[in-house]
Amino acid sequence: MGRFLLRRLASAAVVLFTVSVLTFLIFEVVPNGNPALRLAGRTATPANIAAVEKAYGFNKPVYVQYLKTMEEVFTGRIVSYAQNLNVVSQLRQDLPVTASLVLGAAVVWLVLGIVLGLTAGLHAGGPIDKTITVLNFLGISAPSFVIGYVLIYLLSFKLHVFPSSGYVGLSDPLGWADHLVMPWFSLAILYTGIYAQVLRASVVDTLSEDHVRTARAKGLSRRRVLVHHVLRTSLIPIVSLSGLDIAAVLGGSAIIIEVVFNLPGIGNYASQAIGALDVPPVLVITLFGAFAVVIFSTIADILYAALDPRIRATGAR
Amino acid sequence: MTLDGTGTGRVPIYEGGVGLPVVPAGPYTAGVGPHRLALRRLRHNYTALFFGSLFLLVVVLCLLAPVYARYIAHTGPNDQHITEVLNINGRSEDVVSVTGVPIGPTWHSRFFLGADADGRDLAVRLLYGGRTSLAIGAMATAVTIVLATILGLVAGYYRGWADSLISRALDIVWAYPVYLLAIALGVSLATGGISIGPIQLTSGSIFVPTLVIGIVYVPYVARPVRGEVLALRERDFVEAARALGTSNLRIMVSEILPNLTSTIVVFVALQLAHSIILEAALSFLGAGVQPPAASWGTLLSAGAPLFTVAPYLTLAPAALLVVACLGVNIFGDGLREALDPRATVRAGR
Amino acid sequence: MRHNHRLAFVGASGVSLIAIVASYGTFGAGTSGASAVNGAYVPGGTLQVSMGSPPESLDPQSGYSSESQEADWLAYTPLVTYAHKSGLAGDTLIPGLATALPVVSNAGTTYTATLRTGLKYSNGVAVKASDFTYTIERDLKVGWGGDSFYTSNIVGAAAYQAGKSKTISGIVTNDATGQVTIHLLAPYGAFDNVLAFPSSGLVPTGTAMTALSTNPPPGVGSYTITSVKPNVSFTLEKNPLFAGFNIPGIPVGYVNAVQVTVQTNADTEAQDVLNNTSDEFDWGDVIPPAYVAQVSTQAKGRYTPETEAATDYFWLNTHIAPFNNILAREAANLAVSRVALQRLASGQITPTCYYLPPSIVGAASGPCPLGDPSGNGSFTASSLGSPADIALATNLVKKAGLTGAPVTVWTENREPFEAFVTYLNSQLNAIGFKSTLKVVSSGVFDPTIGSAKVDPQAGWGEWSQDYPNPGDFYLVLDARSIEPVNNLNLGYVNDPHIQSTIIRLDKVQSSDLASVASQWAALEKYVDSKDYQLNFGYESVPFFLSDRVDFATAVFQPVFGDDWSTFELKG
Repeated sequence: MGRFLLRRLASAAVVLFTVSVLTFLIFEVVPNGNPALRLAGRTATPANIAAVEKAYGFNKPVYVQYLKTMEEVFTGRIVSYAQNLNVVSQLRQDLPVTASLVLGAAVVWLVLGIVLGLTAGLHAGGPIDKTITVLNFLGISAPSFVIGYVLIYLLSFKLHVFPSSGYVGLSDPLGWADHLVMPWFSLAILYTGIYAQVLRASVVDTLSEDHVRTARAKGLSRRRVLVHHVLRTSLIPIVSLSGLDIAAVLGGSAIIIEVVFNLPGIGNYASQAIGALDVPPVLVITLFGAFAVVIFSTIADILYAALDPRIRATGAR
Repeated sequence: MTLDGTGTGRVPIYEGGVGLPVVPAGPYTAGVGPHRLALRRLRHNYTALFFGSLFLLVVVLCLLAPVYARYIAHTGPNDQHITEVLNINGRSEDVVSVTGVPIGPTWHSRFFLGADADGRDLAVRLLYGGRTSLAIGAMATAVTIVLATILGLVAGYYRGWADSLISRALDIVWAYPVYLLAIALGVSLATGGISIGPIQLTSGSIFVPTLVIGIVYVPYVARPVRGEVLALRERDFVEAARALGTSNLRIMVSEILPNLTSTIVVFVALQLAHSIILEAALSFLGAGVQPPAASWGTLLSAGAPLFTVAPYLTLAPAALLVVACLGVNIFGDGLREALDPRATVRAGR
Repeated sequence: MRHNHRLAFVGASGVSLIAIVASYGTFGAGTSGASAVNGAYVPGGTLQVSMGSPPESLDPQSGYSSESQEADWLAYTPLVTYAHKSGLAGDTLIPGLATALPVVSNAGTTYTATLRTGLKYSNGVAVKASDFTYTIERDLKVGWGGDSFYTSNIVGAAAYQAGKSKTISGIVTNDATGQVTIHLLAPYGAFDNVLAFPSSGLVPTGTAMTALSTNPPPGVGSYTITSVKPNVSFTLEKNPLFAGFNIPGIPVGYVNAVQVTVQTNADTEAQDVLNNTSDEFDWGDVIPPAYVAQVSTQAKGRYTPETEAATDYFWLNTHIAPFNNILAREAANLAVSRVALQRLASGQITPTCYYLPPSIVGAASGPCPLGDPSGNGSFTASSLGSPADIALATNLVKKAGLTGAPVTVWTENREPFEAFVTYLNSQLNAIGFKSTLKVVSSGVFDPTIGSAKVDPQAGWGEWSQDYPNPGDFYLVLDARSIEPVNNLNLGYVNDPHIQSTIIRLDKVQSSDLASVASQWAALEKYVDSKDYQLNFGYESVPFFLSDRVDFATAVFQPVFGDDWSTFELKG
């Protein structure tokens, strides 16, 4: 187990290193992307710009700049080009928003997914099952931001149930939830569909298995059978998959939902920073996203390895 | 995530079917090859066929965009008619009002679905946009499938350091936040372009989003492929081929690859849907197709600010997108069911 | 200045799809400390203001945007300032910390003013005359965006900025008498306006020579800037010391505090002001097309479009193909319908073909003198772009042999500017060019198009007044403004007639502008006949307040926008 862990950590480090180098290079290769131009101000002369370049070290070779930037990242001193603000402190401000969004959405998709999947599986073949399946596929086929706009139109503009944008901190729990309900559902619907399908299949499978039939024959109710066998076996992979999906959402759909609903989270900050060709925040946030994916997949791997001794032995994954 | 029973993306997708009632093999199915059997199953899956044809319908409509533009709408996708006045049922209306609000659906041949904020015919742009979105989706899918198959084959067959290298590369691609990568590339190319040898990449080129979308999904497909190859290489027929002295390359191509076709075919359908959706998201964020070119994503993005006064600007491309993806998703699911060796033909359907 | 409109941070398609940080809380609608008297307007209370994008720095010697100046001009009174009045009256200069407007002598090269007695900064420190020298030196050391106004006019300023001298030799002060004397390199009629910049607002000697964006220095003004949260909010609090100075013409302010919060989503902003959760819609934002109708009806008594002294135009690079050919420029001018552009701006610009806005002395009017000989007053701003004009333009392009010539037009990804250039792109294609659209992120738009390496062919530009003087606008057409980076003169216009006229007219004092108005107007007609720049609209900005504010007495200052020191709240 220890060796397995070490191997996973080593590969995680490699991944993060490569991600940071790639990000750095993308902006280095950019023509006309000289950050000194923006830092020097709107009326800068070539002399001013040269001075800024010297001060920030933009005229040094790429790898020197890279090392300097990474050092700043790890000591937390890293400052954005566009606004002279410490990136880490900005992130600390924005992180609760993104966390609220993603974790809340995860709760929604787990609960809904399990409920829908169970229901569909228990009534397999019937009209309820068919309806839920169609809904699941609809959920998978619609982009999250489309769902977001439809929800805004129906629930905010027409019916005035929820506010259409903005974020309220946890100090006002009702307001906080009020502003997040639509974003949560927009993010969650895709995964609800996926998980409901998965659980449905699992339920149907398990119900037809021999040992379950035996249990039923012995007189155990369907519900007990369900709880004991189906949920127990299906839940672990689903929860660990949720972890992976949360990580994927962090670097993916969360950004677009934050933009649609105007939530001041790290995704929004990142896309604005990219627009300004502002490398430091982008670097830090990309690393953060990659880090989340790596951490969650390592945890998932460890869980699987713990459950299945064969995998540990070969180290294959 | 796969849509079948396992959803780990790491395990071959055949495990855990959907529990269809099983009919034991008999004279009806004896002697028929697995692919013919699959086709028969598919032919009886009316839901899958219906949704598949919906998708085809959308494709055909979009391919007919130039015909629609020329003969029905009499305008191109980029022609702006801001100050034009239309005569509908005796009423005259501005295509774009003095306060900047475009005309709604006229249900006539010109501006059938109305105009966008720049005075362009929405229906024409919808169809042309569909062409772009579908083209990007198809090309990206091709990129994904080809790359993933090659990488999965090599990694699964050779194992050892090749496997480690490829798996690490896949991890890196998978870990990189998709939207950030795409936006960063889009923005950095916007102010100039990149020339790598003969390849010229400018921000307007659709190869940028195609490549990004294609590459981003490679780990998603490559891992299951690799898993299957890992299993397949232990099978007898591979042993036999090796004993005969067949080269590794030939084994991979002639023995293992054919057994992967079922997996790959299902992924083609899945990836088509994924790619179309990702393209829409990227263009919506301004990192995909560049204006004034139309794609479903740019249409959605352009319609967003006018959502409260002109919802059709967003709802029309959204509807077409959802129908296309729904169609290809359900058809893909039907394909997967049909190709599953454990499910056999349902008699008397 | 270029880009009056909210900087950089609003993303594609208007509804800040890429937004920075939206409001971090709901507006606590509270009026604090006001006494209610049956809805009458009483002193006190907190004004809640929405700002579409945050000021880049509230330090007066650093902030160059209209957002920062809106706050800084109230907190940092200079020697000379503008009248706190709406309309043209607000363009008049009045004494600020000086006892009277400076006395100009030595053929316009010496300005002498005397400081009022008894002035103190908001922290209680007394104001001395030498603080003025320190303030200007600070402008140069911190690197204020408009510092060239100082270095190109004041003797010894450039040397100081280059580090060659310890102080600005051209400014002489006497702390005992309070006298300030400034020597100019050459007569500059608009120098009074330079003295009226918020960046000329006095700060104590010894203030750090670095940008104090989040903790601005003390100043002399009706309000003081406190609690700055970058990109989020800032507050202005009433300065209790100011009333005691009795400076005529500068209001001491009614509300106790002004709470400014950044709200990048224009839709939300409009909603907030409509339902009175916010007291002011940022005048630098455009009312989203989806709300225009609602605002004009629902907010009838508290909304007027104010004409701003700002012009939108398309610049045409005249030193490279195809726009070095006057026929190509004429064709472009003919094909661009100003009415269409007005609609793209949701009706919030006034069509024009001339450059100077009507509030600036010297503005021209009448039919557009395009170079084509068949035009006899038939080309007006509202008629350009008709199908006949397009046919004419197509022929011109053919005549010039430029059919199929490639053109790239540039825009930033903000609405409606992207819509403007999208339209230009489609029109250029319609008349025979091969035009491509290049959309660049707002954060890098200015550095990109201002770079000689990029050498862009055409794109959208905007100039809003630094001060109400035509010379300010003509910086854009001045050959001396051409720079390899941060170029202002994107048309690369280098016309000897324009140069000689500008140099001659710039010497005229601001107070004597009326006497040369006809000469500026003649220059306008000349510029228009050469089609150097396709001017298309004068901007109007929304003066849109909640019903808590007394709209009748609230001032919309033509130079700085909403004048918070004149706003009164209902009790």
